[in-house]
Amino acid sequence: MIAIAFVAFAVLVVAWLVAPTGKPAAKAHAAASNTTLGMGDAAA
Amino acid sequence: MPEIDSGDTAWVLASAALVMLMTPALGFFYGGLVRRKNVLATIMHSFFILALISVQWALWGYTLAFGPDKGGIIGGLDWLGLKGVGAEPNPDYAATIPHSAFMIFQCMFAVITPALITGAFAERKRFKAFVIFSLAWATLVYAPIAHWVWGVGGWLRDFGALDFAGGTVVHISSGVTALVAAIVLGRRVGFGQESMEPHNLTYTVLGAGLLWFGWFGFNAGSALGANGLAANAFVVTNIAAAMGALTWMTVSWIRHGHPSVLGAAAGAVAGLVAITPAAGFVSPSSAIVIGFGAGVFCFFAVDALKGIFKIDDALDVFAVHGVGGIWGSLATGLFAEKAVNAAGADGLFVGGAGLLGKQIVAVAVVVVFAAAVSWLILKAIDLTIGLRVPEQEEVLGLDTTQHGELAYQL
Repeated sequence: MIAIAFVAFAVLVVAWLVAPTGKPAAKAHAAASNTTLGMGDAAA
Repeated sequence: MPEIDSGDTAWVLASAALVMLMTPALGFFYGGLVRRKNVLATIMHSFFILALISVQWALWGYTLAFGPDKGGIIGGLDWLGLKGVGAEPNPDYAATIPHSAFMIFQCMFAVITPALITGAFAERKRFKAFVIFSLAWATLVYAPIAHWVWGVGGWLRDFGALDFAGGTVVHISSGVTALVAAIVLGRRVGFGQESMEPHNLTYTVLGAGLLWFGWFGFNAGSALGANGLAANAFVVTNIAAAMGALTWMTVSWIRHGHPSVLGAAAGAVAGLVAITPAAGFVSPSSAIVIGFGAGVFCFFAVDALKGIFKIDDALDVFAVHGVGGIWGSLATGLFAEKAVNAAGADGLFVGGAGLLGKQIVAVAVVVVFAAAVSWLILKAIDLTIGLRVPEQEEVLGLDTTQHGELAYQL
């Protein structure tokens, strides 16, 4: 189980390394606006 | 003759206070997620339940949940009004702490469980309907399930299903009820068309932080003693919360291009939910996997419920508490180790064959019972006094229409 735990964490670290670097701030509010309330990001 | 241990007693009382704090924390967590016009009403749901169930528990809730067993189904009325619940330990439950300490610790669980449901019907439920629903639900749903799982003589407890701190009793019961409530009440006016953004995510993150803090009492306090088992529960709780936060945030980062602050907060809560039934039975490395799973499963459950099924569980209670609780309860069947807790059992990944099946049964029974009885309660209230506010009041906001108050004087 310890090996699996290391793998799980490694998956996250790799994801952070390849994740996008962020979108322009001007669009941030519009992108966040959504028709549904809830957790997680707004759907496109 | 049972002897009181001051360390155990101090820890359980402190844990009761930690769990108490989780209810106003939930008020802030939910309050930040709703629109400004409903923030007071949302916070009031949590605050009022703290008062309401504190009294209900003392009068009849505790005896129904933990009283001397009747047929494996419910407790008797021997402790009505807390008669006989005093300074002497009850060795059936906790031999080293006063019975009243055990009772008040459990009281805080009974308080927060119906409070969790309020997120599903946020922004549209009549206050009077909410009051009656909460009282009825705590009596007819929470108390029986608590008795089955935790009560001496409770049939799920005797069956061998494991639930250290409330995966089934608290999270699955409230999560499933939330789903039913969302369906019965129907969608909010403007759902799918209007923007319904959180009005103050700082409250939500504050609430999540305080929930994380209080959860140490929720899980580690369930050891009912200041000992190694409590320490293990404390450690795995922190780890699962952390992994849940990291994972949900990461999934949202990959899918939507931003590392979401709300995602980190929600993920932490999901991880905490998932570790709840497992906290006294699993190792730290298992907690990492459990937290990771919670972050993934609950994230996609949010999308599925709102995006695919169009169910307006306003604050995603089922996705986090229902799905998270189910994952955690099943994960207990996978990862539990007698090496961690000799009073538990070995899960599938540790060579145990039967536990997972028992967990599946427990999950299924709680899901069906909570759904069915909640539906009946909601329908009865709807037929008599009505569940929802009129559309005009919903548009104006519950703070003014239900409480005559405004949160912010701007």
